This record gives sequence, structure tokens and C-alpha cells, in this order.
Amino acid sequence: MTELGRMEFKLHFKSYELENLDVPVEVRRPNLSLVARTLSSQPLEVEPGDYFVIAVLPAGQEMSSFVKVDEGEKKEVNLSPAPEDESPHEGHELSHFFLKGPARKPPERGEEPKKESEGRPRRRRGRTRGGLKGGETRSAPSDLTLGNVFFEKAMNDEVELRGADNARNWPRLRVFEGNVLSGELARADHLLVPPMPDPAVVQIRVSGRNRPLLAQFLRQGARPLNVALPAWAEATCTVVLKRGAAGIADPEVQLAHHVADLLLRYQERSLFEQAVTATQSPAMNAEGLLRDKEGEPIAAAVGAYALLRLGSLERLHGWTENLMNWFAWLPDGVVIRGEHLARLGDHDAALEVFLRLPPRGLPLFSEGLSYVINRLRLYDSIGGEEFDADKLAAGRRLLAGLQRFVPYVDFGSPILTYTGLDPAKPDDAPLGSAPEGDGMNVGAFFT
Amino acid sequence: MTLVYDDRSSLQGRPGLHAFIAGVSLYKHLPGGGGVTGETPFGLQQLSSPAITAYKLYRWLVDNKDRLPLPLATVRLLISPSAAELAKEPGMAAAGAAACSYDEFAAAAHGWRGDAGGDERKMTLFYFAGHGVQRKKSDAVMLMDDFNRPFQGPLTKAVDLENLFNGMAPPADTTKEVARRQLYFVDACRMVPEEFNSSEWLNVPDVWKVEKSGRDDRVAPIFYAAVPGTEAKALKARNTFFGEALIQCLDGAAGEAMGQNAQGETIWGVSVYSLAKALPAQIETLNKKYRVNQDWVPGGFVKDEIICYMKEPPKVPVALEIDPQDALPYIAIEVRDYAAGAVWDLKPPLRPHPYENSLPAGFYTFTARVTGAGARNYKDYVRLLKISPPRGEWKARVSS
Repeated sequence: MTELGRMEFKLHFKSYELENLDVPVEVRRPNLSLVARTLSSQPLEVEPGDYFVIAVLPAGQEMSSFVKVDEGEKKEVNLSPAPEDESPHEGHELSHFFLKGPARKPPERGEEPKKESEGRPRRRRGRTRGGLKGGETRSAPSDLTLGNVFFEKAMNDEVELRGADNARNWPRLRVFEGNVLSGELARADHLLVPPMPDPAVVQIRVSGRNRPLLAQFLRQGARPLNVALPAWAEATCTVVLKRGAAGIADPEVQLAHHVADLLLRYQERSLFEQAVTATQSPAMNAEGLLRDKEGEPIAAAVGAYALLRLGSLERLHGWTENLMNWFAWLPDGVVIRGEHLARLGDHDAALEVFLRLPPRGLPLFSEGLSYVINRLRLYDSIGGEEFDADKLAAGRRLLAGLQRFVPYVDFGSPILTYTGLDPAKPDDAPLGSAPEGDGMNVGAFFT
Repeated sequence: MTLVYDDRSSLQGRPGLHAFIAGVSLYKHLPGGGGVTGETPFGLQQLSSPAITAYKLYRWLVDNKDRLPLPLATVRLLISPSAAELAKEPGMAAAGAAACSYDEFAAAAHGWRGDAGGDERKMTLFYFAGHGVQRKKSDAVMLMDDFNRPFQGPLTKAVDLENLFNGMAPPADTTKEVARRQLYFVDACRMVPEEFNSSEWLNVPDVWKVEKSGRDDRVAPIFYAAVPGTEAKALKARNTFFGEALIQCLDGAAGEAMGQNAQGETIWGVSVYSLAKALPAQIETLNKKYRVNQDWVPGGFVKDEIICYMKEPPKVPVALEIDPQDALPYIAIEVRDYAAGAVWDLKPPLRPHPYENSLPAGFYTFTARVTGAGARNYKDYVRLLKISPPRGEWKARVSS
């Protein structure tokens, strides 16, 4: 009888976070046939033979290794990025290997950055909304223009201002906390942690709260961009800004939980095989993520969304109910639970659950907004013969409130992203001007 | 007639694949369509490629039926072609397909759902190409060929994909069954017309009444050609970009090695996940070739499932480049497959540069070897690469 060999995987990156990341790994025979899809944390027993081991990172880089395993042998499989794929800087590794576009060299001094955003495509519509005519721009209203002396001081003290962006004090970043559905919002710029200056990539950590948070990215002449911040009291998130050939790109947000972030990015890139494997990581285990109220609600939400999207209902069990009940501030808990119940065929209970959304606010993830809108539309079309009339009416009201946002949402982005200077009143008007010193001048951190 | 392919009798109750394919190029009530124009054209024009693309997909299914995971049971085909398409592809007229009006679509949909019922092991495929719009939500409304007919509501001759999708959900009555493997392809714009801004909500008639579903654990991915708010692109009287990319993917560009059979031979196929992985690259290739900006987005329930098998490994386009170019006179290229056979042996200088050719999918060792005098500044460069669809690229960095 042949004794199996054993592979153990070792990742080689510059940073501790990535060296210890649980990355999906594919093991194939020389004829390319698939032996196993597993995780870098999980040893794999194999028949003696030759194997190719491949790991694909969300930004598209591939790490591969050839390994010959003899009978009963324990073999370490080393996986590292090809030299040309390496991150130029240890501190940028997470964004380099997770996010879509690589950072580019800064423009020559004095070169004008384009006003339009780059990065993910913004959808264009041949019309304007919110009472503005074509070409008209909107200035920041006074109730949304609370200055932020702390950041101005921090940046002016510590950072030498250079380049065209800085000279004009753009772009700027502001933070809101609260419920955009009810309009109860407050500025929370103090949650932004001043970043390290960098020529290409600026990473701004945001302290979390047990309330929904929203970052607003302001650029003169461009539509203000609102991005949900998946952070909470026990975990930060990071706003990543990259300088491209045409200026500073739209912000992207990375989660503190790296495996959850990995899972989110694989789905964004349509790498579903890797996403399925990532859901099996011990780091994404429901029991670990939902240890009473000391778990990881954001990562748990990402995991639950993935299981819903990938159709793994059998793995959700009590996951969705606990997420909804134990983290009463998290809008996504309600949406995930409602969608789960709907998929199980319990539509009355699903409607009841969806109706708990308004006090929590908009979901932090685009998938959640799609789920609740699609279900409420469906239930409305099925009608009062099948549902309690009062609940259906409440569902209609909620649907109307949610649909205000939808035309302005970028559904290509996994984290909820939409345009509008007033986060509670979305529109697509470009920003004309904003008072000097409002929010964090992120352009100043690009050295 | 819509049922252009029917092999149900020979299946004798065994599960099969039921396809519903529709393409509209000629819109009767838009300018140039020959009919009276209605009041709400939304600025839309005639199209010239959706019908021929739908027809090509139908032909692909029939011509490749032995590669499908289940026997091809039925194909319902509705096409409203333009004159240019009919001239280009005379087979369309002979196919016996009905025009894609709302009534024909609705009748075909009911027939399709009826065929998909009764056995959860069955499989379905839906494809629509034509004009599409989006209301104030993340929906996709498909416009039939009698859209904009006078004295009708703006979207009365349109179908909401969501209604179609929800109506195919497994029923709550567990004694009834429906195919649990359902593939959806929507090759249409998802633009928001100007007129939608002034209307609170434009109703689209339901193709069927949707009831509360049972446990919905379908494999039901939706491949949308255009992300919300954007246009789908096409080549006149040839194909839509999405349709071309889709067929290229099914022909091998999304081919992937799966397991192996009892004889130790690799099983090749295209699955939901390999298609989702390959489509962006294939579309990107077309975008570069034709300088357009087609996009796509996945939706629905993205569970993996085999779409079709392949008889052999797909041929993968491969591009080789030597970096820096000054090294070209000194660098020989050798490419070996796993069995250590040399498949390419290219003497310097590499011409053309970059060098482009194709290889069957597999693992290969690529060696750039320094040869000749005056090559002191360069070094050999060796890489082991998995060459798999949609393409392989290798840059030999030979600077020492």
C-alpha cells in the first residue's frame, strides 16, 4: 500500500500580515487536472508524484511552485510572487496584491491632474438630478462643512506640501456617522488617523464605531463620492488612495480582517473558485466570527454575503440570526437574515426582518442593498393576498426610501459607494467648491 | 413557431437542457422599423447584431450538443433580424423562428418553464440580446420588438428579467419540481433613459405571476453584458461583443482542466466559474481590438456548474517578449512541455517581437538563453508557467 505524502504551504511576502494570510491554493497534476483546492494554512495529503501548486491573488498576480512528493514525504511548498510582481513597499503589500490597479509614479511637478475620477468606471447619465441643470455644480452646504483644524495642523506641521493637488487643497476626505436613511448624520472626521506621506499610495486608517460610517471623497469638479466604511468599535478599516497617471484615483476601502477582505476582492474580480475556497478558511468560520458579542461582525457579514451569493445555504445555519441579533447596529445583519429566510422559503418572516432595517440604516455592502430592494419589489408584486397588508405597506415605504439611492450606487463596487454631496440626499451633481480646510486634505499626503 | 429544436421524444422523460434564446435587432415601432412610431422611444435606434448573435448561439448549442452536460432537449428561438443580418446569415430565415414580440416571448417563456418543470435534474439556458433599459433600481428590462407601439404604456412590450428569474424559482409546493441548474445571459444595455427621471415608476407587465418560492438553492448565475447604467456594444450585422466573447469562451477560451477520468486523462470543460473568470479577459481583448468599452457583471446565485465539456485542451494564445529589446540579437527561446519535449525552439533574433503563437493549455518551461559574443550584460531567464485560457504572457527579463 502506498503511503501518502504531505504538502505544507509557506507564503513568502515582505509583510507579516501577508505571510500569515490564508490564501486559496490550487494543486494540479502535470497534465493540469485538478487534485485539490485548499488553503495555505491547511496541509494536504497527496499520492506520491509531481504537482504544480498555484495561488492567485485578487489583483491578478499568480504564485506557483513545482513540487515532487515521494512516498511518505513531508514537503514544504514555497510560494512567493514573481520578482516583477512584488510590491515595491512592504507597507503597500495589502493594497498591491488585493486591489485592482497598481499605483503609478507620481506626475511631474506642475502636471495638472485630471478632474474626472479614474479607477473604477463611473457611470454616466445624460441627465442631471436633484433640481440641477446640466453644467451646474453644487457647493458644500453649511451644515456639512464643519472644518477640521486638527488635520490641517497635523499635515502642515508634518508634511511638506508638494504638487498640483496639494497646491489646490484637493482632494479632501470627510467622515459621517449615523443613519443616512433617516438623515440623522453627524460629521466624524476625527475618526481618520493621519497617514504616512507617500509618493504613490496613501493609506488612511479609520477608527470604528458601533454605528454605520461613511467616507466622503471630494474633488473639485467631480461628483462627491460616498463610500461606506466597514469598521466598528473593535476594528478599523483603511481608505486607500493611489496616485495614477491622471491624478489621485477614487478611494478604495480595505477591511481590517484580511481574509474577509480577500474574500470580498475575489468576488469583485469574479474569481469565484478562490472565493469558495476562502470561505472555508478557519478565519472565516462562523463560530469564530460570531463568538457572542466579541466576534467579528464585519467579517461575518462578508462571509454570510459570500455564502448567499455562492448558494451555500447549508453552511449558514444560525449564522445569520446571530449576526442580526448580536450586532444591533449593523444594517447588513438585517438584510442578510432577511435574504437567508427568503431563500429558505420563509417569506413572511423575511419581510418582517427587512422591516427592521430603517433604524439601522443603509447596508454597508452593495450586495445587501440589492437583496433588500429585490425582495421588497418581489413581495410588493406578489401582493396583499399572500402577505399581511400593513407589513406590505411598510415594505413599500422602505422600498421608496431605498430606491432614492439606487440610481447613484456603483454596484460594481462590493462596498456601498454612491454619489452626492449630502449623503442622505444622493445625486450626481459635480462639486463646485467647498470651503478651505473642510475635511482631511488627502492630496497633501502624496509627497 | 418558436420551438426550433425538439428532442423530447427521444429523451423519454430523461432530464435534458432546455434553451430559450431571443434576439431583437429590428424594432418595428422605432424609427426605421416600418411601423408607426409611438410616443416614448427613449431615444433608441434600430440595432443590427442581437438577432444574428442569438442565432449563432442557437447554432452553437445544436452543433455542440454532444459537449453539453445533459442532452439538448429543446431550443426556443425568437429573432427579429435586421435586413443586414438576414443578408449576412440566410440561415436565420430558414430557422423557423418567430419574431420576438412580447406575446411570442411570453408564450415561449411559459412553454420553456413547462419543459423545465417536473424534474430538478433538468437544466435551462436563457439568452436575450437587444435593447435594455433600467428603471430606478438595479433591474434589467428587456425590450421586445413591438416596444414603443402607439397607444401603449412606455414599457408594456418589455420583460423584467427579475420577473422571469423569480418565476423560475423552485415552487413552495414540494411535489412540484423545476430545473435547479439555470443559466442566464442578458446581452442588453442597462441605460437609464432621460424620460425615467420624470416618472416615479414605469410598470412592466409580468410574464407570469410569481408566487412565494420554496427553498431556493438553484444554480442560477446571471451574466449581464452591461453593468447598470451602461451600454452593451456590438459590431454591425456580425455580433454583439458580449455574444462573441461568450461563444469564444464556450469554444475554449474559458476551458479549464477539471478532474481526470478513470484512464488518467484530464477532463476539460467550461464551468460557471471558469466562464466568469475568462469573460473579463475575453471582453478586454475585444475592447482593445475594437477600441470600445464593453463591460459585464455577474448576478444571481453564482454556484459552480459545468456548462459544457471539451474534447481536448484549449489552444491558448501566448505572447513572448524579451526585456530589454536591445538583448534581442543574443537571446534564444526554448519552450518545453512537461514531458520535456521542446515545443518551440526559436533562434535569435526573436521575430516578430513580441512573438505570438498558441500552445495547448498545460505547464511549460520557458527559457531565454543568452547566446553569442557581446552578450555580457545579459543572463539566462527561466520560468515555469501554467498556460491556460484566455491567454499566456511571458516577459523574459534578461538584464544581468
